[in-house]
Amino acid sequence: MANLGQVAVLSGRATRQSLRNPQFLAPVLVLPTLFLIAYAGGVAGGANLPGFPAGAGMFEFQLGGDMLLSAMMAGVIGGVTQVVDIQSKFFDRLLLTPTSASAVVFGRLVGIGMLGLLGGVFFTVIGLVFGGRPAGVGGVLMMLLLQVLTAMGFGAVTVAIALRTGEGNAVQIFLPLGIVLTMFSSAFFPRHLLLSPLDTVAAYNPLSYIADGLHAPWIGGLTATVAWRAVLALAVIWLVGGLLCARALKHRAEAG
Amino acid sequence: MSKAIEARGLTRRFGEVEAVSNLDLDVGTGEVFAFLGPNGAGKTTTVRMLVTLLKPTSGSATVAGYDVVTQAGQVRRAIGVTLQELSLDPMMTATELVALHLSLHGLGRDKEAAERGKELIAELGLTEAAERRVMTYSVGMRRRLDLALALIHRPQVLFLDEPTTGLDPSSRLVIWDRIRELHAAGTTVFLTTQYLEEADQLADRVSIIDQGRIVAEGAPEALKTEVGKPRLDLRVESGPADVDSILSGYGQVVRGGGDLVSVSLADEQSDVTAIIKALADAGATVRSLDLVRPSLEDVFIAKTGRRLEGAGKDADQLSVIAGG
Repeated sequence: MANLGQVAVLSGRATRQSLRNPQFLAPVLVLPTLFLIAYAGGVAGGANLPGFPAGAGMFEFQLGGDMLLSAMMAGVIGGVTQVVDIQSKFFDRLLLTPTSASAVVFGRLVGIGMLGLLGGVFFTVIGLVFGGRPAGVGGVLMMLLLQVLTAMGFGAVTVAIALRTGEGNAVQIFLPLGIVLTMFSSAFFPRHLLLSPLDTVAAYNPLSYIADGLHAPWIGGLTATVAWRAVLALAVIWLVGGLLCARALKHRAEAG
Repeated sequence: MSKAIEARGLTRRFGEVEAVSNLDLDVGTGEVFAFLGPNGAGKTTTVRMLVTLLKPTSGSATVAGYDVVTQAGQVRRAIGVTLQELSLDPMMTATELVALHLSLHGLGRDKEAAERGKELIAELGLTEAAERRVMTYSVGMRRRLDLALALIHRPQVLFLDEPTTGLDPSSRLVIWDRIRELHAAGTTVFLTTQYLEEADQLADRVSIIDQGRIVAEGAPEALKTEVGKPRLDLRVESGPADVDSILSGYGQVVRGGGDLVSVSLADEQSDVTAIIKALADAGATVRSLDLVRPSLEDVFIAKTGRRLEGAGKDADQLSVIAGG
């Protein structure tokens, strides 16, 4: 059982590591902001389509998608920083302490979650400043929680790849891949308004359900069904990420 | 003497390559043990297995009485390690790194440990830089900080994997002094190095590893005595004397370039004065003489048939006596 105090210390260090490197913050804050500007402005007319969520503009809808993108980018950055630690041998130094390897990795994941939270707070503030009105404190808290858990879930996948390969290139491929995966979901447009076969792909893409959970507080329609589907989708990502991390750690211990 | 480190048949393969082969090791508690060998000999692989970073392919090892595979957590509590490559986060300060390590060793709220951290930073000359990020440090400063982090929890066994590689002489001396202090305080030190002088200066016992196998082990003096006798190098103006004939009465004579002549001595107690007198009596003039003792380089050559690459100037300054 990991010592929670040690996990907290490690996550604090992981968070500082990201905050002290501006290049790690850009994908989490700047990239989704550019998407927000492009989509909210460029396809604003889409909000007039029949079936678009009533009472919501494209800006409010895009906020959820950009929060998802931001959380995924936080996950990718988590993998990149893990590679930095591996290549600088600082990861070895952490493993040489009595702290278990799983606690070291979990500390990293919590740090990724904190980066995700930063993105969540950033886009919540942007939304509020530009007229968005989320569904109460509960809605905001749910969004932020989803943001943190999404970042950690994707972080588990990228950290596992980092542990397995130790290569920055292997992790950085998730940067464009994350954007593509988000595009093939309902993150930036309602699923029922997508054309075939994109609507079918989006239906099977777990990101769509997480995106729905992030959209709901901004556009209305926050229901228990939306919430549990988001949690279920996250559970799938966490399960995959967790298993990959466990296997990667085992491989690392044996291969050195 | 109780054993701080014990390995039996320790082997590590990477695919077809056997990096460490059937290694047996015994390091006594409180001993400074030097693991000497060229690059790629298997030193670092051995250290990584002993400090629990790498699982052996076969064989077993204990450190501070704990099995490195089944009791890895206890081993890590008992050891301090500096790796060959500096393992520091360049974006953190020394103070932050010290605090992080104290926390990870369960000493985060231990005021005495925190004080010790400050003292270590001061003793290693890093107080002024303690609040600066490590990225601004010189290599020597980073090495010293690395050592401070390895010592912060008062380890029973300290592993130093080439701790002075790439350091300037003054930084190297700081590390050497610290190792001597630790030795005096009873800490077991497992030191890998490619510097012969380092092993000679610091170690109670030396083990020479080459191509994954131990080729010699023992106290430095014993190893040196085993492979060679001391030698007297003389530069002589012969005059009427038959120098070779005179010297051959004291040991085997070898002619070098010019007027250099060497005679191997039976032991260090040989009467050098008698040799000088015999030469003078025969009319020869001794212009210079140098008593050359066997070195660990000689041991390495005797055991492997080649020089220790990477030994650098240390090796170049040491003369070679091959064989007995």
